[in-house]
Amino acid sequence: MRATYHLPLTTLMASVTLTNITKHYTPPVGAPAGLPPSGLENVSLTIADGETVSVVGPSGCGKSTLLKVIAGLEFADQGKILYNNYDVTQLAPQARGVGMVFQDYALYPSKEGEDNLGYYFEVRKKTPEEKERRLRETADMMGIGFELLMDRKVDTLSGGEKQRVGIARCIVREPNVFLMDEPISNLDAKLRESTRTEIKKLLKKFGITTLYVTHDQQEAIFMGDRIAVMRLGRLEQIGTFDELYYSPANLFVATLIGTPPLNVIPAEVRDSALWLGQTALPLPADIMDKLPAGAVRLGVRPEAWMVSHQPGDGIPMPVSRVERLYTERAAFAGGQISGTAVNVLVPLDFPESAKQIHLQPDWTQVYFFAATGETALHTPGAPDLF
Amino acid sequence: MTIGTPAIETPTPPVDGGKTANRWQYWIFAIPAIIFQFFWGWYPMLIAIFLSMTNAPIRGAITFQGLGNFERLFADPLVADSFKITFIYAALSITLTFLIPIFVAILLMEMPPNLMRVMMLLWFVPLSGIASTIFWQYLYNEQFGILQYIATGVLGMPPQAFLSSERWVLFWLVFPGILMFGPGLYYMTGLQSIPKSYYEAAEIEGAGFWRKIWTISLPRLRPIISMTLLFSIIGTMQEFSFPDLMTRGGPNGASRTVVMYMFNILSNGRYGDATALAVMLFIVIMAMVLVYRTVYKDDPDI
Repeated sequence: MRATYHLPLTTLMASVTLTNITKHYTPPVGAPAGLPPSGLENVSLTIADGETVSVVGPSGCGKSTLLKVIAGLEFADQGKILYNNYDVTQLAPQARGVGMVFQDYALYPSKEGEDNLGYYFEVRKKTPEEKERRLRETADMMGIGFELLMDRKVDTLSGGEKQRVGIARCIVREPNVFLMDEPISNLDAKLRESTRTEIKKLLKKFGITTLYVTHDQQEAIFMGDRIAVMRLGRLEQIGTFDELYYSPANLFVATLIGTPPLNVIPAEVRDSALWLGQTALPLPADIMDKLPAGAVRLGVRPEAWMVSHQPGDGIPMPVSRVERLYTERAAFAGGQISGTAVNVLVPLDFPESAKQIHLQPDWTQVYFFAATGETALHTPGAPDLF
Repeated sequence: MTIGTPAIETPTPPVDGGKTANRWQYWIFAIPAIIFQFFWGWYPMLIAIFLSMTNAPIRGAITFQGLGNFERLFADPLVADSFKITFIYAALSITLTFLIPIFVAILLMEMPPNLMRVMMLLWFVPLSGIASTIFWQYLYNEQFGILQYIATGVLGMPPQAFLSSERWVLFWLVFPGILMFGPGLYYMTGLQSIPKSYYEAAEIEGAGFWRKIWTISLPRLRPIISMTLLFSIIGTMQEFSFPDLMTRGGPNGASRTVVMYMFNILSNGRYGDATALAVMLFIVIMAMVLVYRTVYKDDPDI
């Protein structure tokens, strides 16, 4: 039996601490064998008061499950969940005081915006005065034009408007924790950008502890104070963007964060030099010390190549295509080194006629990984800007 | 909308709307439906209304009798009885096979998926009318039936009359429908199309099981419920084959529905009376449907 007492939290804020959360699902009957196990494996995570943590990962990585376990919609097989110091592991969702925003909005379609917000007060049998007061406060917080949405039927609202009502529905009950499950994935690209700015602004204003789940790394970076990267139910790494970008825990995190992704090229350490195919590059001593002799993998971000048109200036790469992103004022030259596809950031005026370029990595920005597996041998670390 | 957006010029549509020239095509597409409607729908109905006011002989001259047939039917106590039985049968049947499956379906949705599939299969098993009727006759058999065994052997009750009890025969006739009748399946498919996040959102807001059913499941099932109820009314008011095969109207006419009585009259060669009874039944059902349509307004939102 799940406990139904309410959390003795008086403030709006709560830190969330997960310790060794494990959750397994029984695979559905008829599911093909050999599927990766769904659920969560030994996830530990702390979200500070008022912090926004975004969770990113490929689909099926368990990020939505994580959210549901924190909300209480699913219960963990093992592990503990604390809100501040209160153990909520076995607490029913309504007792936890969370607000959840869904990808498909989950607004009650036959009701008006206002009734959607009022549902909570109906369920909890609160006084009409309190409902009135909270609705008014929420409308003020949601900003200009929100009252107009309140007396419209949900079916007549656009996607962005629905999500505003969805968010307001969470705020109206003063949640301890805000949980967002891909809240803007159903919007079109333009609306997505304006909505995510708006959500970010609202989150700043409320200062509510938030977990934001998304499959889009851009969005995760934009929304989160910290970003948690998940794969196959495991938490691979959590940290600020700089930490994930410059000090990834492993190859998976390194290739997930960054567009276009990190170029990973097989190489060999021999005679105190790095060999890529037939080209030998002298290695700085501090990196050299960390690397074993023999096969390794070199990781270079597209912007970390030094490009030269002079033969003999590094690794030759035949240019197979040039992708010009006019809106970003940049271009990417694509080719192959040692049989691996490589992307190189080049100026927008990169000549179409260039058939071959010569590349040398910026040694302060390179990554090294073991030849097999995902172990990171060397990462550049965040650059000192000042 | 931004003020000052230049108005987009819409091309003027052709004068006839591009439609009038092709209007005859609509008729071509409509003709099969019209023919079908006329010969299998309107024509028999109009003829029946006409025949109900005659002696409707198979051969020989038709004599017009005005409302004589109806007067005779009103004087016949068996007609009133059969209407009463039909109403009870319909009410029982709608309560047991229409309302109960809604809640069974809702409860089933909470079950593990495997159990759910087995139950859906049971609802979906294509049982032929005759075969399942014979099957149920065995179950109801007063000496060897399994239901008798359950009643006396397991529950320790005195021997039950089942279909030979004037009091209970209608209940036992409706009973098989609870398990075997189809609307449960419609409800389940309807329930399955409700996004899970609706329930999750309600759960987070603190809604309990019944409130979730009341505010999410039932409103979402409303169109399906509305349709099924309408068909249930029409169908049960015209019930014939199942009670006829099970009881032949017995015991003592306690399960003789209107259509069964109509069949009796027809067998006696009273064609005029039979058609008059059919018209009466039609008027009753039509009135019920009209009342239903006015009372039960379709929710404009769903």
